[in-house]
Amino acid sequence: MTFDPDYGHFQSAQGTGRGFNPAQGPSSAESPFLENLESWWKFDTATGPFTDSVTGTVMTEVNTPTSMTGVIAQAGVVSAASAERATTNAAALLSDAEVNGGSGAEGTFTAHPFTVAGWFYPKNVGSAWPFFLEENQSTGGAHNLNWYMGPQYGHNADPVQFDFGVAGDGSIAYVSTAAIYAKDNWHFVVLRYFGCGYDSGASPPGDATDRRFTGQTVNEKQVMVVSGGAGSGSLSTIAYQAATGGALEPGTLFAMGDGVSGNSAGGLDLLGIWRDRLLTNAEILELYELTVTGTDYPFS
Amino acid sequence: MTLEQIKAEAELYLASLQDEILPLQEDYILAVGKYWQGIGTPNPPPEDGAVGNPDPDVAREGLPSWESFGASLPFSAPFAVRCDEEKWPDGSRAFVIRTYFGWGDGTWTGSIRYKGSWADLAWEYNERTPA
Repeated sequence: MTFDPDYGHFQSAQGTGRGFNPAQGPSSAESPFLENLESWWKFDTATGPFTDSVTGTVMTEVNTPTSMTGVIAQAGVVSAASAERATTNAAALLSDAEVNGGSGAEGTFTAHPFTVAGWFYPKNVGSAWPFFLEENQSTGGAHNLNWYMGPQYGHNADPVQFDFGVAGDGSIAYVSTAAIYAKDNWHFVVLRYFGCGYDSGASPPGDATDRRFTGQTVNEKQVMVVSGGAGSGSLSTIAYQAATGGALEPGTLFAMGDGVSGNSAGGLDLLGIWRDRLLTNAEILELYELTVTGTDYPFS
Repeated sequence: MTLEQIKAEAELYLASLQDEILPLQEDYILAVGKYWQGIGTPNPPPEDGAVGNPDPDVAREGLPSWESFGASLPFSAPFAVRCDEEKWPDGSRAFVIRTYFGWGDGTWTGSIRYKGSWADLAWEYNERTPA
Protein backbone atom coordinates (compact mmCIF):
# COMPACT_ATOMS: atom_id res chain seq x y z
CA MET A 1 0.00 0.00 0.00
CA THR A 2 1.39 3.43 -0.97
CA PHE A 3 0.41 6.98 -0.14
CA ASP A 4 -0.87 8.95 -3.12
CA PRO A 5 -0.15 12.64 -2.46
CA ASP A 6 -2.28 13.70 -5.41
CA TYR A 7 -5.40 12.40 -3.73
CA GLY A 8 -4.39 12.39 -0.05
CA HIS A 9 -5.04 8.76 0.64
CA PHE A 10 -3.42 5.40 0.56
CA GLN A 11 -3.74 3.15 -2.44
CA SER A 12 -3.76 -0.59 -2.53
CA ALA A 13 -1.55 -2.45 -4.94
CA GLN A 14 -4.51 -2.41 -7.29
CA GLY A 15 -4.67 1.38 -7.21
CA THR A 16 -7.92 1.60 -5.28
CA GLY A 17 -8.29 3.96 -2.31
CA ARG A 18 -7.75 2.48 1.16
CA GLY A 19 -8.47 3.75 4.63
CA PHE A 20 -11.84 5.36 3.91
CA ASN A 21 -15.24 3.86 3.41
CA PRO A 22 -16.42 4.81 0.89
CA ALA A 23 -13.05 5.04 -0.80
CA GLN A 24 -11.79 8.60 -1.43
CA GLY A 25 -9.98 9.89 -4.50
CA PRO A 26 -10.38 8.85 -8.12
CA SER A 27 -12.97 6.20 -8.73
CA SER A 28 -11.72 3.16 -10.53
CA ALA A 29 -15.33 2.41 -11.48
CA GLU A 30 -16.05 5.59 -13.44
CA SER A 31 -17.40 4.73 -16.86
CA PRO A 32 -15.37 5.74 -19.92
CA PHE A 33 -18.67 6.89 -21.42
CA LEU A 34 -18.64 9.88 -19.08
CA GLU A 35 -15.64 11.40 -20.88
CA ASN A 36 -16.81 14.39 -22.98
CA LEU A 37 -20.42 13.39 -22.38
CA GLU A 38 -22.19 16.71 -22.84
CA SER A 39 -25.71 15.59 -22.01
CA TRP A 40 -27.68 12.45 -21.23
CA TRP A 41 -31.44 12.26 -21.28
CA LYS A 42 -33.34 9.55 -19.41
CA PHE A 43 -36.83 10.95 -20.14
CA ASP A 44 -38.04 9.43 -16.87
CA THR A 45 -40.93 11.07 -15.11
CA ALA A 46 -39.15 10.68 -11.78
CA THR A 47 -36.13 12.74 -12.85
CA GLY A 48 -38.08 15.12 -15.07
CA PRO A 49 -38.91 13.97 -18.57
CA PHE A 50 -36.78 16.56 -20.33
CA THR A 51 -34.00 17.06 -17.78
CA ASP A 52 -30.36 16.53 -18.72
CA SER A 53 -28.65 14.22 -16.24
CA VAL A 54 -25.21 15.76 -16.83
CA THR A 55 -25.85 19.49 -16.46
CA GLY A 56 -29.24 19.44 -14.78
CA THR A 57 -30.64 21.58 -17.59
CA VAL A 58 -34.43 21.47 -17.83
CA MET A 59 -35.89 22.04 -21.28
CA THR A 60 -38.92 24.18 -22.05
CA GLU A 61 -41.82 21.88 -22.87
CA VAL A 62 -43.91 23.07 -25.81
CA ASN A 63 -47.43 21.73 -26.30
CA THR A 64 -47.10 19.19 -23.50
CA PRO A 65 -44.92 16.33 -24.79
CA THR A 66 -46.16 13.00 -23.49
CA SER A 67 -44.51 9.83 -22.21
CA MET A 68 -44.51 6.19 -23.19
CA THR A 69 -42.85 3.03 -21.94
CA GLY A 70 -39.19 3.29 -22.82
CA VAL A 71 -36.19 1.01 -23.12
CA ILE A 72 -35.58 1.77 -19.45
CA ALA A 73 -38.50 3.24 -17.47
CA GLN A 74 -40.24 6.03 -19.42
CA ALA A 75 -39.48 7.64 -22.78
CA GLY A 76 -40.39 11.07 -24.13
CA VAL A 77 -42.75 11.42 -27.08
CA VAL A 78 -42.35 14.39 -29.40
CA SER A 79 -44.05 15.70 -32.52
CA ALA A 80 -46.92 13.25 -32.31
CA ALA A 81 -49.11 15.25 -34.70
CA SER A 82 -49.56 18.18 -32.31
CA ALA A 83 -46.10 19.78 -32.54
CA GLU A 84 -45.08 18.62 -29.07
CA ARG A 85 -41.43 19.34 -28.45
CA ALA A 86 -38.87 20.42 -25.90
CA THR A 87 -36.32 23.19 -26.40
CA THR A 88 -33.39 24.79 -24.65
CA ASN A 89 -31.00 27.64 -25.32
CA ALA A 90 -28.62 26.60 -22.54
CA ALA A 91 -25.13 27.39 -23.84
CA ALA A 92 -23.68 24.20 -22.36
CA LEU A 93 -25.84 22.14 -24.72
CA LEU A 94 -25.19 24.04 -27.93
CA SER A 95 -22.52 23.75 -30.60
CA ASP A 96 -19.55 26.05 -30.62
CA ALA A 97 -18.63 27.61 -33.94
CA GLU A 98 -16.25 25.78 -36.20
CA VAL A 99 -13.72 27.59 -38.39
CA ASN A 100 -13.39 26.63 -42.02
CA GLY A 101 -9.80 27.32 -42.94
CA GLY A 102 -10.56 27.36 -46.65
CA SER A 103 -7.56 26.19 -48.61
CA GLY A 104 -5.38 26.43 -45.54
CA ALA A 105 -3.64 23.66 -43.66
CA GLU A 106 -5.03 21.76 -40.69
CA GLY A 107 -4.06 24.41 -38.16
CA THR A 108 -6.32 26.96 -39.82
CA PHE A 109 -9.42 24.83 -39.12
CA THR A 110 -11.31 24.49 -35.87
CA ALA A 111 -13.49 21.39 -35.83
CA HIS A 112 -15.97 20.20 -33.22
CA PRO A 113 -16.82 16.58 -33.94
CA PHE A 114 -19.65 15.04 -31.98
CA THR A 115 -21.52 11.80 -31.45
CA VAL A 116 -25.22 11.34 -30.77
CA ALA A 117 -26.48 7.95 -29.63
CA GLY A 118 -29.92 7.02 -28.43
CA TRP A 119 -33.08 5.01 -28.80
CA PHE A 120 -35.73 6.22 -31.23
CA TYR A 121 -39.27 4.95 -31.75
CA PRO A 122 -40.66 6.32 -35.04
CA LYS A 123 -44.40 6.66 -35.16
CA ASN A 124 -46.73 7.74 -37.93
CA VAL A 125 -44.65 10.02 -40.09
CA GLY A 126 -46.39 12.89 -41.82
CA SER A 127 -45.98 14.10 -45.34
CA ALA A 128 -42.97 16.24 -44.54
CA TRP A 129 -39.68 15.48 -42.80
CA PRO A 130 -40.11 15.71 -39.06
CA PHE A 131 -37.20 16.16 -36.72
CA PHE A 132 -36.42 14.09 -33.68
CA LEU A 133 -33.48 16.38 -32.92
CA GLU A 134 -32.70 19.83 -34.23
CA GLU A 135 -30.16 22.53 -33.47
CA ASN A 136 -30.76 25.99 -34.83
CA GLN A 137 -28.29 28.73 -35.54
CA SER A 138 -28.88 32.29 -36.65
CA THR A 139 -25.63 33.51 -38.11
CA GLY A 140 -25.10 31.61 -41.33
CA GLY A 141 -26.92 29.82 -44.12
CA ALA A 142 -30.53 30.23 -45.11
CA HIS A 143 -31.87 27.35 -43.07
CA ASN A 144 -31.27 28.67 -39.57
CA LEU A 145 -30.29 25.07 -39.01
CA ASN A 146 -27.02 23.71 -37.63
CA TRP A 147 -27.84 20.00 -37.67
CA TYR A 148 -30.83 17.70 -37.44
CA MET A 149 -31.84 14.06 -37.15
CA GLY A 150 -35.20 12.60 -38.09
CA PRO A 151 -37.08 9.85 -39.87
CA GLN A 152 -37.56 10.13 -43.61
CA TYR A 153 -40.18 8.62 -45.90
CA GLY A 154 -42.46 6.06 -44.36
CA HIS A 155 -45.82 7.69 -44.91
CA ASN A 156 -48.65 5.83 -43.25
CA ALA A 157 -47.55 2.35 -42.18
CA ASP A 158 -44.31 2.21 -44.17
CA PRO A 159 -40.95 1.78 -42.46
CA VAL A 160 -38.53 4.68 -42.21
CA GLN A 161 -34.97 5.66 -42.80
CA PHE A 162 -33.15 7.81 -40.27
CA ASP A 163 -31.55 11.00 -41.61
CA PHE A 164 -28.68 13.01 -40.22
CA GLY A 165 -28.05 16.39 -41.78
CA VAL A 166 -25.70 19.29 -41.18
CA ALA A 167 -26.15 22.79 -42.56
CA GLY A 168 -24.17 25.24 -40.48
CA ASP A 169 -22.93 28.04 -42.69
CA GLY A 170 -23.80 26.20 -45.92
CA SER A 171 -26.52 24.20 -47.59
CA ILE A 172 -28.01 21.18 -45.89
CA ALA A 173 -26.02 18.03 -46.58
CA TYR A 174 -27.53 14.87 -45.22
CA VAL A 175 -27.23 11.11 -45.16
CA SER A 176 -29.89 8.44 -44.69
CA THR A 177 -29.52 4.99 -43.18
CA ALA A 178 -28.80 2.36 -45.76
CA ALA A 179 -31.72 0.22 -44.58
CA ILE A 180 -35.30 0.95 -43.57
CA TYR A 181 -36.64 0.34 -40.08
CA ALA A 182 -40.08 -0.57 -38.79
CA LYS A 183 -42.26 1.98 -37.11
CA ASP A 184 -43.58 1.40 -33.62
CA ASN A 185 -40.33 -0.27 -32.64
CA TRP A 186 -37.27 0.94 -30.74
CA HIS A 187 -34.06 1.44 -32.74
CA PHE A 188 -30.63 2.36 -31.40
CA VAL A 189 -29.41 5.06 -33.77
CA VAL A 190 -25.98 6.68 -33.75
CA LEU A 191 -24.77 9.85 -35.51
CA ARG A 192 -21.11 10.74 -35.92
CA TYR A 193 -20.00 14.13 -37.18
CA PHE A 194 -16.29 14.23 -37.96
CA GLY A 195 -16.05 18.02 -38.02
CA CYS A 196 -15.32 20.72 -40.53
CA GLY A 197 -12.42 19.62 -42.73
CA TYR A 198 -12.35 16.01 -41.52
CA ASP A 199 -13.46 12.61 -42.78
CA SER A 200 -13.15 9.02 -41.64
CA GLY A 201 -10.10 8.02 -43.63
CA ALA A 202 -9.09 7.14 -47.14
CA SER A 203 -11.87 4.58 -47.54
CA PRO A 204 -14.93 5.98 -45.83
CA PRO A 205 -16.94 5.07 -43.93
CA GLY A 206 -14.14 4.45 -41.50
CA ASP A 207 -14.17 4.19 -37.74
CA ALA A 208 -13.72 7.09 -35.35
CA THR A 209 -10.07 6.12 -35.02
CA ASP A 210 -9.59 6.67 -38.77
CA ARG A 211 -10.47 10.37 -38.54
CA ARG A 212 -8.13 12.52 -40.60
CA PHE A 213 -7.83 16.09 -41.86
CA THR A 214 -8.89 16.42 -45.48
CA GLY A 215 -9.70 20.07 -46.16
CA GLN A 216 -12.41 22.56 -46.90
CA THR A 217 -14.78 20.48 -48.99
CA VAL A 218 -15.36 17.84 -46.35
CA ASN A 219 -17.23 17.37 -43.08
CA GLU A 220 -18.16 13.71 -42.90
CA LYS A 221 -21.48 12.69 -41.40
CA GLN A 222 -22.33 9.10 -40.51
CA VAL A 223 -25.54 7.43 -39.38
CA MET A 224 -25.86 3.83 -38.25
CA VAL A 225 -28.21 1.56 -36.33
CA VAL A 226 -27.43 -1.25 -33.91
CA SER A 227 -29.78 -4.22 -34.05
CA GLY A 228 -30.04 -7.53 -32.25
CA GLY A 229 -30.74 -8.61 -28.74
CA ALA A 230 -28.66 -8.43 -25.60
CA GLY A 231 -25.26 -9.95 -26.26
CA SER A 232 -25.76 -10.04 -30.02
CA GLY A 233 -25.87 -6.42 -31.13
CA SER A 234 -24.48 -5.74 -34.57
CA LEU A 235 -23.76 -2.51 -36.36
CA SER A 236 -25.61 -1.77 -39.59
CA THR A 237 -23.88 -0.57 -42.71
CA ILE A 238 -22.53 2.86 -41.84
CA ALA A 239 -24.14 5.35 -44.19
CA TYR A 240 -21.98 8.40 -44.77
CA GLN A 241 -21.78 11.66 -46.63
CA ALA A 242 -18.35 13.21 -46.81
CA ALA A 243 -18.50 16.00 -49.36
CA THR A 244 -20.25 19.37 -49.31
CA GLY A 245 -18.51 20.46 -46.17
CA GLY A 246 -19.60 23.45 -44.20
CA ALA A 247 -18.86 24.61 -40.70
CA LEU A 248 -21.10 24.55 -37.64
CA GLU A 249 -22.25 27.96 -36.47
CA PRO A 250 -22.81 28.82 -32.82
CA GLY A 251 -25.97 26.97 -31.81
CA THR A 252 -28.89 29.09 -30.63
CA LEU A 253 -31.54 26.49 -29.77
CA PHE A 254 -31.52 22.73 -29.27
CA ALA A 255 -34.86 21.00 -29.74
CA MET A 256 -36.28 17.53 -29.44
CA GLY A 257 -39.28 17.34 -31.74
CA ASP A 258 -40.43 19.36 -34.68
CA GLY A 259 -42.07 22.75 -34.51
CA VAL A 260 -44.16 21.99 -37.57
CA SER A 261 -47.67 20.89 -36.70
CA GLY A 262 -49.02 17.81 -38.39
CA ASN A 263 -45.79 15.87 -38.62
CA SER A 264 -44.95 12.96 -36.37
CA ALA A 265 -41.69 11.75 -34.94
CA GLY A 266 -42.22 9.47 -31.95
CA GLY A 267 -40.39 8.27 -28.85
CA LEU A 268 -36.94 9.11 -27.50
CA ASP A 269 -35.04 7.33 -24.76
CA LEU A 270 -31.52 7.09 -23.31
CA LEU A 271 -30.07 9.80 -25.49
CA GLY A 272 -26.47 10.98 -25.17
CA ILE A 273 -24.42 13.63 -26.91
CA TRP A 274 -20.62 13.55 -26.78
CA ARG A 275 -18.96 16.79 -27.83
CA ASP A 276 -15.46 16.74 -29.31
CA ARG A 277 -15.51 12.98 -29.06
CA LEU A 278 -16.36 10.32 -31.61
CA LEU A 279 -17.39 7.01 -30.12
CA THR A 280 -15.71 4.11 -31.87
CA ASN A 281 -17.67 1.26 -33.41
CA ALA A 282 -16.68 -0.94 -30.46
CA GLU A 283 -17.82 1.70 -27.97
CA ILE A 284 -21.15 2.05 -29.78
CA LEU A 285 -21.75 -1.67 -29.48
CA GLU A 286 -20.74 -1.55 -25.81
CA LEU A 287 -23.13 1.33 -25.13
CA TYR A 288 -25.91 -0.53 -26.90
CA GLU A 289 -25.20 -3.55 -24.74
CA LEU A 290 -25.29 -1.45 -21.57
CA THR A 291 -28.61 0.18 -22.36
CA VAL A 292 -30.31 -2.90 -23.72
CA THR A 293 -29.42 -4.75 -20.52
CA GLY A 294 -30.81 -1.97 -18.33
CA THR A 295 -27.77 0.14 -17.44
CA ASP A 296 -28.48 3.86 -17.53
CA TYR A 297 -26.38 6.95 -16.77
CA PRO A 298 -23.83 7.04 -15.08
CA PHE A 299 -23.27 3.58 -16.58
CA SER A 300 -22.07 1.83 -13.46
CA MET B 1 -49.65 38.58 -53.39
CA THR B 2 -46.23 39.84 -52.57
CA LEU B 3 -44.30 38.69 -49.53
CA GLU B 4 -44.79 42.08 -47.93
CA GLN B 5 -48.55 41.95 -48.49
CA ILE B 6 -48.82 38.53 -46.88
CA LYS B 7 -46.77 39.61 -43.88
CA ALA B 8 -48.85 42.76 -43.47
CA GLU B 9 -52.09 40.77 -43.56
CA ALA B 10 -50.71 38.29 -41.05
CA GLU B 11 -49.62 41.06 -38.71
CA LEU B 12 -53.07 42.64 -38.81
CA TYR B 13 -54.60 39.30 -37.88
CA LEU B 14 -52.08 38.67 -35.09
CA ALA B 15 -52.83 42.08 -33.59
CA SER B 16 -56.56 41.33 -33.48
CA LEU B 17 -55.98 37.81 -32.14
CA GLN B 18 -53.76 39.16 -29.35
CA ASP B 19 -56.62 41.24 -27.99
CA GLU B 20 -59.11 38.44 -28.34
CA ILE B 21 -57.11 35.50 -27.06
CA LEU B 22 -55.50 36.91 -23.91
CA PRO B 23 -58.61 36.98 -21.71
CA LEU B 24 -59.59 33.56 -23.02
CA GLN B 25 -56.17 32.16 -22.16
CA GLU B 26 -56.20 33.75 -18.71
CA ASP B 27 -59.51 32.09 -17.95
CA TYR B 28 -58.28 28.79 -19.37
CA ILE B 29 -55.07 28.62 -17.35
CA LEU B 30 -57.00 29.36 -14.18
CA ALA B 31 -59.26 26.42 -14.91
CA VAL B 32 -56.80 23.93 -16.43
CA GLY B 33 -53.37 24.95 -15.13
CA LYS B 34 -51.85 25.56 -18.52
CA TYR B 35 -52.58 27.59 -21.61
CA TRP B 36 -54.70 26.28 -24.45
CA GLN B 37 -53.04 24.88 -27.57
CA GLY B 38 -54.53 25.67 -30.96
CA ILE B 39 -53.65 23.18 -33.68
CA GLY B 40 -52.17 24.70 -36.83
CA THR B 41 -54.67 25.26 -39.63
CA PRO B 42 -54.90 24.92 -42.57
CA ASN B 43 -52.51 22.01 -42.88
CA PRO B 44 -50.46 22.11 -45.02
CA PRO B 45 -50.11 25.89 -44.84
CA PRO B 46 -50.70 28.05 -47.92
CA GLU B 47 -47.73 28.60 -50.19
CA ASP B 48 -46.46 31.48 -52.28
CA GLY B 49 -49.46 33.73 -51.84
CA ALA B 50 -52.17 31.14 -52.43
CA VAL B 51 -55.15 31.47 -50.12
CA GLY B 52 -56.22 28.76 -47.70
CA ASN B 53 -59.19 28.28 -45.42
CA PRO B 54 -58.41 27.72 -41.72
CA ASP B 55 -60.68 25.15 -40.09
CA PRO B 56 -62.20 26.39 -36.81
CA ASP B 57 -63.12 22.83 -35.82
CA VAL B 58 -59.58 21.40 -35.62
CA ALA B 59 -58.45 20.54 -32.11
CA ARG B 60 -55.85 18.57 -30.29
CA GLU B 61 -57.45 15.46 -28.83
CA GLY B 62 -59.12 16.37 -25.57
CA LEU B 63 -58.84 20.13 -26.07
CA PRO B 64 -61.35 22.68 -27.34
CA SER B 65 -61.29 23.58 -31.02
CA TRP B 66 -60.59 27.14 -32.11
CA GLU B 67 -64.29 27.79 -32.36
CA SER B 68 -65.28 26.25 -29.04
CA PHE B 69 -62.37 28.02 -27.33
CA GLY B 70 -63.64 31.28 -28.78
CA ALA B 71 -60.64 32.33 -30.85
CA SER B 72 -61.48 33.67 -34.29
CA LEU B 73 -59.79 32.42 -37.42
CA PRO B 74 -59.86 34.23 -40.77
CA PHE B 75 -62.28 32.66 -43.23
CA SER B 76 -59.54 32.72 -45.84
CA ALA B 77 -55.93 33.82 -45.62
CA PRO B 78 -52.56 33.35 -47.35
CA PHE B 79 -51.15 31.95 -44.11
CA ALA B 80 -51.84 29.30 -41.47
CA VAL B 81 -52.33 29.94 -37.76
CA ARG B 82 -51.46 28.07 -34.61
CA CYS B 83 -51.09 28.65 -30.89
CA ASP B 84 -48.40 26.79 -28.91
CA GLU B 85 -48.40 26.52 -25.13
CA GLU B 86 -45.15 26.32 -23.17
CA LYS B 87 -43.92 25.22 -19.76
CA TRP B 88 -40.58 26.88 -18.99
CA PRO B 89 -37.82 25.34 -16.84
CA ASP B 90 -38.82 27.51 -13.85
CA GLY B 91 -42.37 26.18 -14.13
CA SER B 92 -43.81 29.40 -15.57
CA ARG B 93 -46.24 29.22 -18.46
CA ALA B 94 -46.39 31.00 -21.80
CA PHE B 95 -48.13 30.76 -25.14
CA VAL B 96 -47.08 31.78 -28.65
CA ILE B 97 -49.39 32.64 -31.52
CA ARG B 98 -47.92 32.07 -34.93
CA THR B 99 -48.81 32.75 -38.54
CA TYR B 100 -46.81 30.87 -41.16
CA PHE B 101 -46.78 30.19 -44.87
CA GLY B 102 -44.62 28.52 -47.48
CA TRP B 103 -42.47 30.79 -49.58
CA GLY B 104 -40.01 29.41 -52.09
CA ASP B 105 -38.08 26.56 -50.53
CA GLY B 106 -38.96 27.43 -46.97
CA THR B 107 -41.45 28.77 -44.49
CA TRP B 108 -41.94 32.26 -43.12
CA THR B 109 -43.18 32.35 -39.53
CA GLY B 110 -44.34 35.42 -37.63
CA SER B 111 -44.72 34.80 -33.92
CA ILE B 112 -45.50 36.66 -30.75
CA ARG B 113 -45.15 35.20 -27.24
CA TYR B 114 -47.13 36.03 -24.11
CA LYS B 115 -45.20 35.29 -20.93
CA GLY B 116 -46.69 37.66 -18.41
CA SER B 117 -46.57 40.35 -21.09
CA TRP B 118 -46.40 40.38 -24.86
CA ALA B 119 -43.00 40.21 -26.52
CA ASP B 120 -42.31 41.87 -29.85
CA LEU B 121 -43.48 40.25 -33.05
CA ALA B 122 -40.65 38.39 -34.78
CA TRP B 123 -40.42 36.99 -38.30
CA GLU B 124 -38.05 34.22 -39.35
CA TYR B 125 -37.49 32.22 -42.51
CA ASN B 126 -36.50 28.56 -42.39
CA GLU B 127 -35.71 26.36 -45.32
CA ARG B 128 -36.73 22.79 -44.81
CA THR B 129 -34.92 19.53 -45.21
CA PRO B 130 -34.39 18.34 -48.76
CA ALA B 131 -37.00 16.23 -50.47
